[in-house]
Amino acid sequence: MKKIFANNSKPVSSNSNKDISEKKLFEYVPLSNYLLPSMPAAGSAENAWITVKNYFSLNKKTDNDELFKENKKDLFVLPERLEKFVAPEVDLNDVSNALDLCLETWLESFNSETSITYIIGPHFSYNSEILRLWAKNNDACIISSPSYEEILSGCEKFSLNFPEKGKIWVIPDLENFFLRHENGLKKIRKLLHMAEIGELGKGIIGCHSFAWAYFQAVLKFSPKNVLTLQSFNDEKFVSMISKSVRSSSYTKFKFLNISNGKKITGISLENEPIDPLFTKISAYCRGNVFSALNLWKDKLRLENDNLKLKDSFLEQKNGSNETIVFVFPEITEPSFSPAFEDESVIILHTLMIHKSLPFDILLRILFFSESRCVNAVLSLLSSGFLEKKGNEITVSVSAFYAVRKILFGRDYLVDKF
Amino acid sequence: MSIGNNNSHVFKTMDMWTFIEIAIIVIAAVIIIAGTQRGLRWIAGRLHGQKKLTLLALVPFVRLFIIIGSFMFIVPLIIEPSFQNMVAFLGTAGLAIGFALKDYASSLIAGIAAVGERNYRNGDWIKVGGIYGEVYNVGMRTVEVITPGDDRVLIPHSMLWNQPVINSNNGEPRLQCAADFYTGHFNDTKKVVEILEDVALTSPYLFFNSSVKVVANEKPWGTHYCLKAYPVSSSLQFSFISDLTIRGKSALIHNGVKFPEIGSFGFVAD
Repeated sequence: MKKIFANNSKPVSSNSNKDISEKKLFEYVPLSNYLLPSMPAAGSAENAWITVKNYFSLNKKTDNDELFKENKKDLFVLPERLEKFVAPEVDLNDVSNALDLCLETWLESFNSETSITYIIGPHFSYNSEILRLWAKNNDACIISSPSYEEILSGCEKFSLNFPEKGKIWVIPDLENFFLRHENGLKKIRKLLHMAEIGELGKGIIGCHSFAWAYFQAVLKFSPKNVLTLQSFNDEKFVSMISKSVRSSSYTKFKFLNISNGKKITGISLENEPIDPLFTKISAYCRGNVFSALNLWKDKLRLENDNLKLKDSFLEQKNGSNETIVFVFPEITEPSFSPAFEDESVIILHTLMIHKSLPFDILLRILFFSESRCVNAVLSLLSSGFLEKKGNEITVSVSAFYAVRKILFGRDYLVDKF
Repeated sequence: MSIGNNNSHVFKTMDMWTFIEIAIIVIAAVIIIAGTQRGLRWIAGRLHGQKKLTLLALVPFVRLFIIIGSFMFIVPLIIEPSFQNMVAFLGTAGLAIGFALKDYASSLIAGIAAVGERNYRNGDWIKVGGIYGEVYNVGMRTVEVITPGDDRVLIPHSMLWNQPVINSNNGEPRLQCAADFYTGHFNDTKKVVEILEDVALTSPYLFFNSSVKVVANEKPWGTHYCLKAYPVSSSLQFSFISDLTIRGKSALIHNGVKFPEIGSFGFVAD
């Protein structure tokens, strides 16, 4: 991975923003060209301090709301009608179009050596959703993942329905085709081998970055065509938000740092320097725009008075008014005990590799006693490290980077994003 | 204070203030040693991997330096600091201690050698005289080892002089673990090796930057397989071996591998 070295605060001309919007925000690049944004010096120190506080159990404050209340009373989450301007959602069609552009040449040619293109995405990057959308737009056949029972069964290979030769197929979520179990490994090895020698025809395989790191470590697998969505640095991130903020017709937004009352620059007006906060967010989220937007959204609050006024503004549709949005500048993480039980770390690592798992499957592949596993999962759920998504358990978005740091610090396998 | 005419040049005259000074140095050294030992252990307890071991290895060094430092402060208060006086004093004291407390002095010197040569450090997994465990503290006279059964064993450093010391991780955060499997003669050996390799590769405890190896040995009663791999941390070695053994055995049974029938050929597995 390459690194972008960012300054603390850099002036960005309106031309620079235009350059980005003209160039395209979303771009697929070879995995080795992924540019990992660097933390500014102050941000690195703050990050290190958060880690030290966590290690020595000094970090008692974990909730943004509590910290907000401490600094300023009567603050509220932004209503949806305002949130869509200040923290816009990524249009997955734009990303799918970027993928289309990148695959243009590949789609036209056929070469058994490059018959498969791998698209790798980190946690919370909507990689499988983007591939499903791309498959739908390009009339490609989506290969559904097998059931957990089939993965764990002793048979040699999956019973998957690949289309006849000539038609493109897409596996959007390779991480759902395996379990860290000797039977699961056997079948994924066979599948990837068949894909690599061109036996399955031409297709796209999407994979979650942690599962990909695992395959590379275990299967010693290093194919040629591996792509990923290029990282979002601070400039791209600000360009995306500012475009949306300035598109609001009925109110102007002013962003204030809740700790010192200073203006957060770079998004409300043109020709402003990019606030170091954006550099910090993009570096903390390791260039993942979806996580960065989520983190940014969590930092925004409105005062009660402002909220009431806003309703009247909306009724009057008076475009000359200004909405003050308070921004919490610190990055908060769930605090972890230094004496974190080994079971807890192993559960977190397993869930990072598999992205998400139902509890009974987690129990089947870990060989812990049920009571110990239940206790560890409940403890991780209550401390905010894990969250439930339907029937499955996954690492929560707010704890993801903290968990990655814990695993990296303890020499567990981590991804390169 | 003077001890005869000849000794009057060796020893200084000691008054109440000299005793108070010595007492202050000793108390300060004890407090600093206790503080640094606890402090370094506390910090190390919150770290993992190489950082933890490096910090733990510093503990006996820091203590030795403080002891040497305080000794260097105290000696000039007692004797005239000339070369002849030092040789005479230390020689006499050494001889007396050597005769009276031979074993104790031997352990102390071996302790200094152990710290200097780094034969074992805090956090290492060692085997001395049939005792296997994690080095908890490299003391002045003994090395304190905590066994897997949670027993605290104090082994005198003097055992260094005539006993082999087996250090399993030698300052590294991880050590090689081995899980043994025994099968009958009439199995597909290659398949067994593949199954065992996959068992190790799917273990949640596995450290990926090291290799997984299966060593097969033919025995009169069947085949002995030794699955060797490294866990992410040496503290996980027993969980790792248990995981490999449980899952390995289950996978072998699941794949129809036949096990030896102990005693059926008149042999017993060694």
